Amino acid sequence: MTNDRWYRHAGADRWSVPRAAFDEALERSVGKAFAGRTPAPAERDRYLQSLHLEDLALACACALGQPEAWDHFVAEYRPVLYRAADAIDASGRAREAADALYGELYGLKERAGIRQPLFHYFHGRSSLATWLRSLVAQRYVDVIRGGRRTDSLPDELPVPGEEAPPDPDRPRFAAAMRGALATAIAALAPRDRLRLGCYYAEQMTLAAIGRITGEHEATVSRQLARTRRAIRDEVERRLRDDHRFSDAEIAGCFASMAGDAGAIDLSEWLPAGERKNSGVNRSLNRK
Amino acid sequence: VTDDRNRDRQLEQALTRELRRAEMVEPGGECLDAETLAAWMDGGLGRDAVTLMEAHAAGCPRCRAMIATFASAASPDVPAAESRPRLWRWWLAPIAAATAATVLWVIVPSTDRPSSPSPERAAEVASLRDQPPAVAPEPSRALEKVPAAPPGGKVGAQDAAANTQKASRGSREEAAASIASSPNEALEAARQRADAPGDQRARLERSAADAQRDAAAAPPPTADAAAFRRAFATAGVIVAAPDSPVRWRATSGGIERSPDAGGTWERVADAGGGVVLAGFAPSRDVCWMVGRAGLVLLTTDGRTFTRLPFPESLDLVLATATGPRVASVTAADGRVFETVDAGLTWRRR
Repeated sequence: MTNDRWYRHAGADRWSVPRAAFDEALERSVGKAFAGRTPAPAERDRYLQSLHLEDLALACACALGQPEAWDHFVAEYRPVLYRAADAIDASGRAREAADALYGELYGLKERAGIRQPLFHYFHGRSSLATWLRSLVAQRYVDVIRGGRRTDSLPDELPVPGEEAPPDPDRPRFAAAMRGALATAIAALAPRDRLRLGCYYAEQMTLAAIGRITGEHEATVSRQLARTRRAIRDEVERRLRDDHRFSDAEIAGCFASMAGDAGAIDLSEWLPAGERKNSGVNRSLNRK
Repeated sequence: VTDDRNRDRQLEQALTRELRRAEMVEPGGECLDAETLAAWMDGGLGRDAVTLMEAHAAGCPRCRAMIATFASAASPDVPAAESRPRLWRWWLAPIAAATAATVLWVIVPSTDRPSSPSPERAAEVASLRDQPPAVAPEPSRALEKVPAAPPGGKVGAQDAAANTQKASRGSREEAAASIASSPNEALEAARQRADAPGDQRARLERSAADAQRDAAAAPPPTADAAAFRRAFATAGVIVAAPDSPVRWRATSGGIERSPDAGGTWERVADAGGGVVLAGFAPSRDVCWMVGRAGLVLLTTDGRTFTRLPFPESLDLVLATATGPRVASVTAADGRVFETVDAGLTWRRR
């Protein structure tokens, strides 16, 4: 099966991409998607047909350093990069990550005298714009996490039960509660755990989670409520059966996780501006 | 009922703490790379692959954070620059498109845009790129393309010759879409945009708005970005003041100012005997221009440009500033220098 059809379909001649270079890009994409397995011709065709071939051709041309392709890329995608960066972090830190991408995209760093353009890692399985957003997100997260590794301890969340407790039972309750909770979470289906993490740990909106999981936000809300109920039942069961706690002690276990300062203000834990709507009541239990 | 709700709230607080605190479940498989995440989000992964990704991300705080960050970047309800003032109206689109193209040209110089009419200028720029000088177009053919180096500037003589040939094939339309180098040409380009089909015009308008927004908010570049821009640096400079129709441009005859977005130009200064390669205007009265051999020019009244001392005879290819006192300039070798006292002293960053 010749790749001419895909070359034409991609409009790769617009950027004067050599056929061999485009073929290589297709093979890299196939290799990534099928993880080294050789797909059947029909399967391969179906896969190639699903690709964003025009974007792949542009990436290919940019990787080769075609000036006209770069011109087009800068004009069309620089705003995409910057909008994504501003949406991630309006203070400009994400823009730094976006700016730093240009050099990598072209491949200013060489290995064995050969440029290593980041464009080689674009396989056409998404649009170029989505890939760029994803790159900015990745770099930003790595920068933030790298920064946190060198931050002092106060950024860490307080561990319930480890602070000096007024109630001598609290550390015991907290440890039991944490253990039961971890077991209950580990027993969840991956998608349930993902929804839970995105909602509670990452403070994502229901709509945003729905875009990830391909569900309507009402479905996400319903599923989260179901998962939370299942976790609660499992935690209570474990506390009762494994630890032989009474109802009062189980209540103490739940209370121990709430800390001793009353309601927890999540905004204290989150860097300013890092998450949206952090002040909003995110309880699924609200009526 | 109250106890029941209290317990639910306590559980939610516990979930938030514990899920944020650490990995609660050992994530299997490899961490998401940007390409895989993008493919996932665009529906480019098979069902099995999605299941694997979900299983990993569910237990991996780093990947979950990446997903959340991506979601905020891709969120349709968070337009990045919505909080910034819109500088134009739809009926200004054709003119703004032309002028914004010039702004884009200054911030990220284009390889396709035409050269300055001056042959000396083309030679200057070619030598800056360590290339054989390009064949400068005749003044009357100012819209033709100038040969351009691929990013990185590592171009052999053969490539440069090929570029030169390619440049001679450049169409006027493409060049006009890239930039207009005179007021009449700018207006002509604007007219062409106004005649464009609806969707094409919308795209041009969007690009223009983005370019203007970017010009107003672009941060000082990183070394990589500077290298990238340096690679694309070509002749000619037009600087746009933010929130204002004031423009400055450097020509072979000196520095000119336009009070009406390029409609008319008035010569206000000479270039101090140097070649201007870039500029930046943080306001309608303040404009920094930089160029070859450590050229730094500053105006604080929009008209009178003063040449400022610069410690090294470097080719300066980029300037950014926040006002008349604080500015940073990037040299052709990627080094960045800052001043906080209106150019009296410079410190390497």
